[in-house]
Amino acid sequence: MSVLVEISEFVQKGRAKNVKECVAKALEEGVSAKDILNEALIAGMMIIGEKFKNNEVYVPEVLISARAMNQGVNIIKPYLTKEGVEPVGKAVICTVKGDLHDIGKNLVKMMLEGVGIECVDLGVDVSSEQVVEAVKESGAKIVGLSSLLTTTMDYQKEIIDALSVAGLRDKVKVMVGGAPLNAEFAESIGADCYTKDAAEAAEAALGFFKE
Amino acid sequence: MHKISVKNDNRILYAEDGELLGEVLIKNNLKLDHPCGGRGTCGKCTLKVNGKEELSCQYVVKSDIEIKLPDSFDIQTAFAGEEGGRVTENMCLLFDAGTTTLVLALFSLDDGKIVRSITRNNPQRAFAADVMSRIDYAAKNGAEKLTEVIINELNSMIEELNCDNVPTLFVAGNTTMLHLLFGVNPSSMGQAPYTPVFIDKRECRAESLGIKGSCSVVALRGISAFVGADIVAGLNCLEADEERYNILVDLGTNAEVVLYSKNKLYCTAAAAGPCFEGVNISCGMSATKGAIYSCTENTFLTIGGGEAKGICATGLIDVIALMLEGEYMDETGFLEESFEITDNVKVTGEDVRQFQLAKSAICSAIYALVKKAATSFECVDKVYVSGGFSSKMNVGNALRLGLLPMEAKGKIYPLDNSCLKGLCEYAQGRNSVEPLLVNAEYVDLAKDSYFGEQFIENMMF
Ligand code: B12
Repeated sequence: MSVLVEISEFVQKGRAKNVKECVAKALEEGVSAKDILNEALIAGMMIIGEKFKNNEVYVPEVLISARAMNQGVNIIKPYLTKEGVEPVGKAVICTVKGDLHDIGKNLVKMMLEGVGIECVDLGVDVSSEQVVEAVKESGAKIVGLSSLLTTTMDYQKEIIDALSVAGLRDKVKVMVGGAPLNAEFAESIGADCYTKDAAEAAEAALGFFKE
Repeated sequence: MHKISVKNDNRILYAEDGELLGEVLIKNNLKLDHPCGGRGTCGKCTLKVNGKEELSCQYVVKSDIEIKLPDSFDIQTAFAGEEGGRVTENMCLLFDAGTTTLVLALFSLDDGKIVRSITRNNPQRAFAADVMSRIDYAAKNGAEKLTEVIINELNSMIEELNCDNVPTLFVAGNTTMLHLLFGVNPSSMGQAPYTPVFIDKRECRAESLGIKGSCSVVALRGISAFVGADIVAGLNCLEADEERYNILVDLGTNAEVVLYSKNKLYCTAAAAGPCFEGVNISCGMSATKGAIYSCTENTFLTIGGGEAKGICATGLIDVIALMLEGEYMDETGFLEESFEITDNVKVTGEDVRQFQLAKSAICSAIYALVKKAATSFECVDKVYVSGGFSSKMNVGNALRLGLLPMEAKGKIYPLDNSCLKGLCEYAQGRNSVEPLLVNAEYVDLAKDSYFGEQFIENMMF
């Protein structure tokens, strides 16, 4: 088994320690950091994402896989910079004001990172001003908004409106999600995209960067 | 509708076709003990139906029948004051204002017994199902309509009980329900930091709320936006120890959890979600006729005994436990394909995921409070479990699935309507909960990293 396949499998099993060992071994063998990232770490995470979508694995498995992947990424980071590998793109992500639920948001963030997108995570209970500020500062092309409460989902619209007022609406794609939402609601508030789960969110985000 | 003649004192009760006899008796304040939780195993609720011995918890009413309650049953007390009984100065009303159901009871202070009571659906359900959606409705449309319908319903219940001349009406309910009852908009509880407009005990004249009669209305205090007066009332009928802890957990949508001794009380809401009411479960339904409520390897039971229409909480717990035991599902909650109970009723992979969220939220909240109190289960004596289905649940299965912590094994005490019982105590001037509330602390699980870790971990089986 090639070391890349091995890494991918350890990512899927969530074995952080093995991932670290194998990544080090691969680097020693002269495999490029870019290949380790795309063909091993990201590849493994994508398989987990697909399984999550099909209900084969659930939140705990995704979280441990993401942790394992991250530890691998940390090792190769300096090499990536050296090789001049740029992230696919940047996204700003948060749970909106009035809401403190963050598990879904964190999963989305991990899945985005799992396909190579860099995430600026603003945390929970985030205001429209904070989002506008973060988009300006990071130059992110994607804004991801999460709401788990019927009473906070309307705030997503306020954020979208604030982006318009700040003249940033054309520069970003707004993705929204969370259990009480659906596609119609997303459309009604002028979002660009709604997805039911984190794996689809990552696919959709990749799609935006490829546009 | 079938007639049930009670031979003991020639009283007539009525039952829907297919209703369980046990349920009919409970509704009429004729509760026979069934320590087995109505599973038909203990035989304690045996009575005679048309001369033949039957278990009331299993017997389905399909025609007019004649029953004889066991001689040991004190029917006089149970029926004391019924119908003909005059409403006296020494009676009061108790109102359990639930999100789903409303219960109004006429209570006699002379002998400390409920004289009669009625249960109705909360008419606010027509506007929005759960608490949060009602808060949302009130934020957008004002609270007036929600207040109006509940006051109207209460008045019609008072009328039915024929008791608009009692001096006092005691009320408990969750914080949102009390806001709506008093005509206060609950919208501030819709967003973090979820601040209620009022949380203290509230008293006023019935007239000022548009309630019939001229009694005073006394609403118990709550603790926070999501641990309300209903939980406080519940605690008021439970034991407390100086040092050692007891736990109260309500297996409902908001899933309040309280860990308390006489010295200290910690509480929180685990927000389990509505899956125990059958919402978000593909064949889920509430515990009504046609629901599978119990399931073993070879057979299942439906409420009313007829064809299975869906599955309610207790049935879901049994089925998932079976799936785990039979290795149809692994410990991560993965199943290859849906588990079919009948041609129409099945449990899907997605259903299991919903269950995992709910059970882990509840179990993890309990662990989080135990940790917060810097104690351990060795110092916990009793785990009281309230909520609609708790007394019918297979406790062994609930433990095995991790809905309740395994450490609580042997310490679990299911409760029936603890809110109403606590109100009975309160009405009699017994307010044992008051001192507990002096040192009450609300634990915000959203900021509790230990809860966060546990929530992920306990999703597994
Ligand atoms: C865990 C939980 C909590 C935890 C939160 C822990 C945390 N750090 O997040 C705690 C216990 C603190 C909590 C508290 C409350 N909760 Co809560 N909570 C839940 C619970 C059980 C699970 C939510 C969850 O994590 N799901 C798992 C994740 C993975 O799913 P998800 O968030 O939907 O995310 C997926 C998708 O939606 C999507 N997605 C999510 N975000 C985004 C963003 C983008 C951009 C995209 C594209 C996709 C996407 O991808 C994710 C992965 O596939 C639900 C009930 C349930 N069974 O669902 C209630 C629930 C959400 N809570 C609810 C409520 C009301 C509360 C409270 C306000 C009141 C209470 N106690 O009941 C409090 C206070 C909230 C607070 N303090 O913030 C209600 C909401 C009801 C409503 N109609 O609005 C629910 C439904 C339960 C109920 N009572 O009915 N809660």
